[in-house]
Amino acid sequence: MVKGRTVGNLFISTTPTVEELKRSVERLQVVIDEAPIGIVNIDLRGKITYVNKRFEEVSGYSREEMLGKNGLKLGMFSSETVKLLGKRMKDRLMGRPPLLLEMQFKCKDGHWIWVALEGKLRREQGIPVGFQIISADITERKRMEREIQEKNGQLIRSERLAAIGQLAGGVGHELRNPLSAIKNAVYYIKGKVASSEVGRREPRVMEFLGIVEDEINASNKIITDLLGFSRVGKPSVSPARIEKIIEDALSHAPIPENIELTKKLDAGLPEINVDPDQIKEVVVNIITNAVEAMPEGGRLLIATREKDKFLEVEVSDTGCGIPQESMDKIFDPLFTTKAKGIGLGLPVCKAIIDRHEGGIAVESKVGEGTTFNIKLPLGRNVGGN
Amino acid sequence: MGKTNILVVDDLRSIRLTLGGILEDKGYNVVSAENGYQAIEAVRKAHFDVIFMDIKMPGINGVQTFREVKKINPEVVVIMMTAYSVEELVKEALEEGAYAVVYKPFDIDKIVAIIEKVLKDVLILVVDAQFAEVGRLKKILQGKGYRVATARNGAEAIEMVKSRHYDIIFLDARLPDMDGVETFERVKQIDPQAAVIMMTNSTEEDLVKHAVNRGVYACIYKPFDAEKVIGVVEDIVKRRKG
Repeated sequence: MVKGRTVGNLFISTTPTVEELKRSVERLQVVIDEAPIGIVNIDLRGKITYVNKRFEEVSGYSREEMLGKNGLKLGMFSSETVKLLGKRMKDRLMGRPPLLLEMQFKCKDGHWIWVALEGKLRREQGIPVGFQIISADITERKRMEREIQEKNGQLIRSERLAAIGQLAGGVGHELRNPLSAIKNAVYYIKGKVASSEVGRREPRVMEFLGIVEDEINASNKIITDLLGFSRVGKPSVSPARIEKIIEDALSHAPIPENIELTKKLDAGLPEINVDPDQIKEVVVNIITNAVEAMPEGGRLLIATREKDKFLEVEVSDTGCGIPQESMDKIFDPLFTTKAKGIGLGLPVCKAIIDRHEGGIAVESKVGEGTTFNIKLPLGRNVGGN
Repeated sequence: MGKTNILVVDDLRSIRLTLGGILEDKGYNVVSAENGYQAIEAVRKAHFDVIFMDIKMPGINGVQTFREVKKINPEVVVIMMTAYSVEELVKEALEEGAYAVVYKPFDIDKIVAIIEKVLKDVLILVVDAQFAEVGRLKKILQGKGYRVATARNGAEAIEMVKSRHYDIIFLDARLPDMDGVETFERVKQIDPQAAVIMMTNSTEEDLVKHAVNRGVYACIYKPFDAEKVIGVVEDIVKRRKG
């Protein structure tokens, strides 16, 4: 039967010629091939019967390498994914709605990408003949999602730190008043006892008063640390030279004689936009830790360099090292392995470096030593909104 | 004059007792107050050389109290004490002219050192009815690190000299209530150690001669030259030390 339509008293045939059909199919083929999504057809046994150009490009496999092969056995998927896909395909045969999945996919060159795929049962004249799988590369989206997650994690962590800091700061402040009165009282008593009969007869009285005084000062030091922690604020940024900050830090953290200090400071480094006081605090903290890790002496190396738009400061010691089980916790507030520490040093360092949009990393081997690596962004303002 | 008077202001009894007790033990006269209102009352009743003032107190805080105290006794040395890093208030206190800020828990030896330093400071009194002149002179002297108190007339000046020793007194020859020379005579009776500099107009030569004959240390003519003023003051300080 000839198809057509009537215009007035004219009948116009609309049945396409073979030539027209061929051209139409070619046009569609171009559209399908050039579509920004990967399309793969497989038969019911899993053999690939069709792939479009986009999928070739993304996967790195050529059409010839794929056609007729079992898609699950080309090494594109992890064994878990293969299991999952097999099961899901069967579900589709049982009449389940189309399969929607986000999964990782290994390209021919070995690198993994994220794809979102939709698998639909393909029928010919009502009979299932295989599946059509449409996939989109979502690697970039996944990367951004991960980044947002990390940022959120950082935010939660820094909020938690702030809350701890606030509480600690408040308590610390309140303690300073009674400490002050105790310190005054001890001062007075010491003065009186020193020149008295009791002082001469009972040397322990003076000795113990000395202990009280020392411990008052030690307590106050803890409070100072807590307050420093609660005050990690927005950096007040100014251009600074890292060598100067390091020299400043060294004057605050004396290196004992049994430790050999090597400085490899690159003199040609550009200025960085940082809060010099905060960065100094970080360096002092890390140097102090390094020194404390080497009670029997050792070597301390401080090096600076420029790398990938970051300025790096490396502090290495040949001390006791950090045991593997502690590595995850060293930046957690209140985690400490020191007898006289409250576990705020490194969390403060991390909070400061985070605020500078930099990074702090650590490598350590028990018995061999520890290396801290601080990265600060070069050539842009930090701490802005 | 005699003993140094110290006021300790803190809401904590333990601080008042210990700090006050130690300072008394060191030979100072100590009065204590447990809040800002009591402190203001105390300053109204008696002269204090040094006030130790806690910043955080219930009622009016230490900085507010300091402001009120300054109105009553402008030259009093106020040392703020704080257990907090309430940086805003500390900054405010220093802007208001607090002599020092000490952080609790402090070293008593440091406290004593501050008091000793205060007592050694050169203290200058400027007596003049003209507000602008006083302001200018005060600025010049404070710029050189001297502590400066001011009086508007002879009676006020005499009251101030009675309450404490001033190393140098700038005295205007024409005060609203009494003659400059007469004021000088009264001051000399109360505190013969004070060096008095008479400020006059260049036309009053007879008066200058008269004053110098009576023992005025120097005369300077208005409008005075900053360098000359500093020169005279430094000269006096040098002689006192030497």
